[in-house]
Amino acid sequence: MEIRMKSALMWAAADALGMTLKHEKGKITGSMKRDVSFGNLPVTFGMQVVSSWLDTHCHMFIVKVVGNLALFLTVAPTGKDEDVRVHLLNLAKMPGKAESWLEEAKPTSAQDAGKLLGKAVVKSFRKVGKNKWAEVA
Amino acid sequence: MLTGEELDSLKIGDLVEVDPIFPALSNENVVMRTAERPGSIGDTVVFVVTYFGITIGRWEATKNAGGVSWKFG
Repeated sequence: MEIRMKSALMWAAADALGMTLKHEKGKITGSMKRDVSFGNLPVTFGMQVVSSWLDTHCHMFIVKVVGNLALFLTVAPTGKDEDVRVHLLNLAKMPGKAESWLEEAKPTSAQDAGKLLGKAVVKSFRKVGKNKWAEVA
Repeated sequence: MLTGEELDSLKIGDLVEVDPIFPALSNENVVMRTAERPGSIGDTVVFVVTYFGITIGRWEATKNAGGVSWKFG
């Protein structure tokens, strides 16, 4: 049975991705088509959640985008709202397959996951407002 | 994106920048590097395409009567 996740962290993750996330058969699923226009040339990318790790102090997701590009999304409570970060991942430098990577690595925190991902993390951004992001050094 | 004339003028190694995939995150453009240009004018040109240095695919552009057709891989 499909259960729509209603936690604040899950809502924040779905909002950041612009994607409906579902909890099915013990795992998080979600996919969407993203249309990008390169000049007058439209290209559609199929984005899909391929790995997730949920605990009370941080939810983490790996979302494949296209080619070697994926997103690593982390959502953690701050007391008032959520700390939402998205990292661009180079799958060519992943320390393992992206599919189920989080479930196997069992990171203890977003920082721990970042260390484990190492050079696969190319760029990081923190959400600073609705549809507004700031690069994290 | 590219006209037939622009396609004709490209040499191996030439770079073409196009719009970002995630403009809300950054203005960093997608970069297409001309990787293969087999045969004479009108043949398929192959681009290796990257975003933040991450390879996202090989795109092929072919000049034809209707303009330029694209294949994404």
